[in-house]
Amino acid sequence: MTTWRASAKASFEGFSLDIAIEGGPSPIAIIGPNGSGKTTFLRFLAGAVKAELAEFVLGGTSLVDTKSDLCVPMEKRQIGYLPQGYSLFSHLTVLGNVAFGLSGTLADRRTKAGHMLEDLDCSSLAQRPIAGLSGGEQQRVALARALVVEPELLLLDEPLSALDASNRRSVREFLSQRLELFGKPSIMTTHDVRDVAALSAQVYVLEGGRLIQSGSLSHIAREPASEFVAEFVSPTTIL
Amino acid sequence: MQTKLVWPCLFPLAIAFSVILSGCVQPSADQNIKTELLVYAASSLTEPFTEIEGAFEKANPEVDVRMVFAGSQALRLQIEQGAPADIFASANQAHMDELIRGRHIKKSRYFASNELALIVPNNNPAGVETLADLASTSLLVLGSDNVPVGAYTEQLLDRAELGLGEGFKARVQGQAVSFENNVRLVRSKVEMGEANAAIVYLTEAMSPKLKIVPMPGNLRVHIRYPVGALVGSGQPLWARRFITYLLSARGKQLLSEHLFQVSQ
Amino acid sequence: MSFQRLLSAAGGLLGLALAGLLVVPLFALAMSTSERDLVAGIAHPMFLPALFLSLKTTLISLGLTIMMGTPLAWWLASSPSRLTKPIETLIELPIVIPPAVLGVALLQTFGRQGLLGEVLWEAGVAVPFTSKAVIIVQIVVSSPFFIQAATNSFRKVDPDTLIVARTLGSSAISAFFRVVLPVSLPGVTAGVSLAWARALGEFGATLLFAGNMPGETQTMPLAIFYALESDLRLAVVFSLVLVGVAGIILAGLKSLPPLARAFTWGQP
Repeated sequence: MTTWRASAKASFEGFSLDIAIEGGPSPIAIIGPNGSGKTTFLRFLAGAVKAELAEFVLGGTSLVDTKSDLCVPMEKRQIGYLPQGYSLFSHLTVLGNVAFGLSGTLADRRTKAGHMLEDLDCSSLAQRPIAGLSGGEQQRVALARALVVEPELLLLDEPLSALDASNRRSVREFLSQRLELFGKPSIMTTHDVRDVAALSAQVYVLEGGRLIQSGSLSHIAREPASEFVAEFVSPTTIL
Repeated sequence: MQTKLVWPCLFPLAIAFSVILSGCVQPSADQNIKTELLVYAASSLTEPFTEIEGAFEKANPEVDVRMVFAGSQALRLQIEQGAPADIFASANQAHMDELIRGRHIKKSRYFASNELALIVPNNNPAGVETLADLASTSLLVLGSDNVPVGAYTEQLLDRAELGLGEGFKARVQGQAVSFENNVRLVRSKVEMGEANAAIVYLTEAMSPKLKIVPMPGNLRVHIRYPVGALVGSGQPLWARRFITYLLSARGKQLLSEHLFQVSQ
Repeated sequence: MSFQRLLSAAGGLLGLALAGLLVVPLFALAMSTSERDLVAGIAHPMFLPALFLSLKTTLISLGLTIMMGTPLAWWLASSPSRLTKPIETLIELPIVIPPAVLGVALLQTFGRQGLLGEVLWEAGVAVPFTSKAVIIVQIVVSSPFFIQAATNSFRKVDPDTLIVARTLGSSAISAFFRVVLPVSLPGVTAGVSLAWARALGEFGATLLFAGNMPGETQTMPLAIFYALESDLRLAVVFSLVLVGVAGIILAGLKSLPPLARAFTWGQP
């Protein structure tokens, strides 16, 4: 039963972040308008962004603690990261991408990566180059790549925004199943209320770098703390 | 819209056309057109010839003399390839002979002489006192043998072997760290203190940054500068007048002011 | 639409003219020599030492340029520091400065009485008139091209790919070699070609700073210049060989990215 908590206070050019969240093994969703700091927060958790005052504990291990000058390097945090746009390695095949984080003999890595692709129902893509993959396929590959190294926490930055509308529903279902199967903590940022609904996740609302509301989807729908939230939950959002 | 493409495309095309057209434009009748006389001269003649250019133009305001200074060998090459020179003044007879043989020039006359000088930087870092010292001087710079000053240097070193022993030339050449294609470059390296010693023309040696080391009188190498008018010159009359000026008292005066030797 | 056609025809003609201007002189050079001249030229005692010296020095300077330039280019591309812009401009300066001026500047620096030269001289290290000088000149004139190309290539790399690589367990250096380099290989290779070509053809600054000494500092361009003044045909042969060697190596470099792709860095 993995629990985690993270708090960060940081200021960047024209923007500041002040946020504290904690969670358990179920997925949580962070929503907020563009520029509210969602991506920055995820990057902070991954270790790519430093905060002046911060604390991050994952499953009992302290990863960041500015008070004691502790900052575990990115490659040791065992956190999976799916950026917006998936950022697949264009010079490797699908199999190469998935096997990237694995160690061991070539054969071992090949087998393990192959199994992961099977798990996600996309073995047929193994030898394909990245160029030419559809949005949904890219997402699966990115997910496989992150999951195969067995991370303790999974971060997904707007995983569905790069897809066109027709794909979104099926991919959304696939993703929610996977995250549930994953069983470890995961954080997803999104624009779309239907992503949150599919996950039945706790929602955290980020605006201007600050948490303005948290709770279940029904809770924030009943009492939206800002115009953004009200619009977010509004059923007239056509997409 | 298609118009979006038009304007960016027009810009480079406009530049191209204007460049092409400017070459075709005929010069309007201009009353201030002077006769142009193109003189190709060895670079060691730069200072005296620049003064001669000024003096000649003053005496003949309807003529515009243009000087091109470079190594005699480079000038010869360009003339052979059709450069539109009217006059050629060389630092050595060999190049002039080649041009005469190639029927570019009919005949040449000597107008000045020069000598070689052994130069060291002002503070003489290697303590060079005589020519013989060169056999053991580090950082020696000489002219390469395919340029006049280098060829004359070889002659000098050959003569020196009579007095300083066989093998002297080889030893001196062994001390050289660079064989330059341009006598001015040789001089610069000494002036900058990069070279400990060099052999250049006497006319190049007058500089506050240089010290001349006297050489034995019997080693004098005669460097004679010939001048000739090009057969293909468009201004044969003016070319002849310029050469006459060069050989006149005034011309000789200007040359000797720059340490060239002239016949009296 | 005929105006469009006219425009594209004009554009095509201009392009053809430029291509011609670049190619025809080489052709003319090749036409002006004969088999006998070629043999005589290659057998000339000046030839092999100059060719060997050119290849040796350019390889060394290229190696040093890549070694020192890659980390610098990466820093320029990825650092948020405000110093990157002025430093980038400074690095590009040698491109616009005439080589002769660079030669003088190098003499003022490394010459016997130069800024650094004085100290080096005391330590017994003489730079002018040596192959060291040739290599230094080549680095100064060619590395800006490499650094520019590499920096621009590195800039195009998606920074998220690096974050992902690191979360997958790669150290920063490992991520650079496993992600940044392969992705930016075409641009970096182009930079290497440019730099190497510039170093190979370098003349003016070399003449001033390193001097002209067969076997020590007389590179092919210097040998060609030297030959020009005594025997035009010799110069033509040397030039053709230089063009040929350069052409082969540049073509080889161009085929590097596709080869690397085929070889794909030990991926499964």
